[in-house]
Amino acid sequence: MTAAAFENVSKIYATGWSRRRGTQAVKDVTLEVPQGVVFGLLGPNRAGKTTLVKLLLALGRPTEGAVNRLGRPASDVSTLAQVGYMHENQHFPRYLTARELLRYYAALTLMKPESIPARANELLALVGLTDRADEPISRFSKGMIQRLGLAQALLNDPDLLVLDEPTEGLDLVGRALLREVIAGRKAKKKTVLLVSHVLSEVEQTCDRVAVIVNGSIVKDSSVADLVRDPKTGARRPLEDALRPLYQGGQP
Amino acid sequence: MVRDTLRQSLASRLFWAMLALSAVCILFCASVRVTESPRLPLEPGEAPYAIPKDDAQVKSIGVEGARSEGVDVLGGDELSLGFGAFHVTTHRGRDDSVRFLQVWLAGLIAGTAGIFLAIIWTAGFLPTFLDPNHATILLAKPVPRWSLLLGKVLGVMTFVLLQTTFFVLGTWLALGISTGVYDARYLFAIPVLLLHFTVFYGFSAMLAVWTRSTVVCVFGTLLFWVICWGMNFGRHAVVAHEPPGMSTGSRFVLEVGYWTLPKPGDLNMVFDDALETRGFAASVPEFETVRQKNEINLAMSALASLLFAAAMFGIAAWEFRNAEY
Repeated sequence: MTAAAFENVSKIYATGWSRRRGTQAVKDVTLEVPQGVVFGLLGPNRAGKTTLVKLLLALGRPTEGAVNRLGRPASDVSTLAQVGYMHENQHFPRYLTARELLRYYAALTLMKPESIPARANELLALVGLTDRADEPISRFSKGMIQRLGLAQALLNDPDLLVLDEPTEGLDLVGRALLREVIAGRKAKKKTVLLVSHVLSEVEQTCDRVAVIVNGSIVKDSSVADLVRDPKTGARRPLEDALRPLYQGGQP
Repeated sequence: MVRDTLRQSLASRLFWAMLALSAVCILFCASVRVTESPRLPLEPGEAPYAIPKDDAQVKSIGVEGARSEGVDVLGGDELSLGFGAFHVTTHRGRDDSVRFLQVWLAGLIAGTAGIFLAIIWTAGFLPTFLDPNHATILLAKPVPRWSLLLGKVLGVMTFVLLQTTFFVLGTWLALGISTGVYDARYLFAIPVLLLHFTVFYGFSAMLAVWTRSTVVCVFGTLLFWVICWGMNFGRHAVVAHEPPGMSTGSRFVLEVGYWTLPKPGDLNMVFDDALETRGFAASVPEFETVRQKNEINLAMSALASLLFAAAMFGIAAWEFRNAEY
């Protein structure tokens, strides 16, 4: 069973009042994210990365093709109980405290009520917010909200953790924490799907990457293969490997 | 979700403004005193009979003269407001004075100002909830979308119910304690006001899911209320006056519009009937004529309005189910 599978997936966003015009975000994508790996999804801006994530989480529907999540069609919301999701622009209810927020999302994740308080405390400690746990979120900085977002994504100890630009707003300590979390998921044989522009993070944490450009997958390989220069066999910076791909050429 | 909505309500300033408005009204009610002039004793089965103080006969023979002839004189009662700061002479007596106040409190303050404030206050709840940066995290949870929307709507309605109950029960108790009159008919205002709010909140919810804009929800719902009132009044005016030259087709369109849209005027009549306000507040002549002509069925009218709200909630749930983020 794969953690995520896209089979000939295309997505056109209808635009205009008549909904007849459209913008093609993803074109005929076939991609598998194996279980137990840290999988990076890379690409230039507006390449279609977030669209793939949204299709995976059933936040949108593919125009063509099929999307599976944890072995079930993405439209089956039951598997979302084993998924954690964090994105870069999270807006949480400002009237809640950090602790209340985690309890609220834990309830929506259908966790057992008796396990929620301890899990919330554990995650608040993990992301370094124990001393701010009972403060309203309205007083939190962007970095603290990102940490809280990471904590909510981990509430259910997810089999599939989806991180869409998670380092946005995080300081050095926060980024180190994120790396630790990803390493911890990998050690537990859980899957992480990481969408990021921060290549150093990708290089340090990912086992495999897929590169999407203009809505199409142009590369799907291990990080080790990608950074190996095809001509010399020497290791090269990830940026050097990606630049020609982003520009529409071959590595 | 319901509890979260309650917390969201508590965090809004308008909630405290509404609560303060209710508290002022409760304080006002606590300040009311009614002093009744003594009434002539009645024989068993005898109906009370009284004439106003400024009647020509009273003026000629005096109050005591009229009373010595077995006729009570109205106008000797006194309504004291603001803990004795203001005094108003009335001929209504204790019970009717209190009912008069209750009808105005429930009809004008809660029924008009309260409903408008509630619509404005709650209009932002769903758009905030549906904002993509907030909703995408919620929608990635294993809960059906319709249940998220239902929870939010129920939360809003629960809170409006609490505010309404606080206002009505608070003013009822305060008036009861200060005057000794506990008229239970006033408590009918709670379900009737909630019904009125629900009908228009359904439209607001549909707009929220469709546009995700608080501004559109506020102004759209208020405009819709005006349109519904116009349709409601227009239909009753046509039935009352039967304008010559009106074609059958126009009349049919009017009837379809009337039965399709919510009917705020009819809901006010439901309110009047529930609280038995006749004699305490003026009614719209066209509405009274329609009632006399037996061209109105308030139960069906309220049911049709509720069905409209249910349809709006259904459309909102359908739209939310299919919405892409």
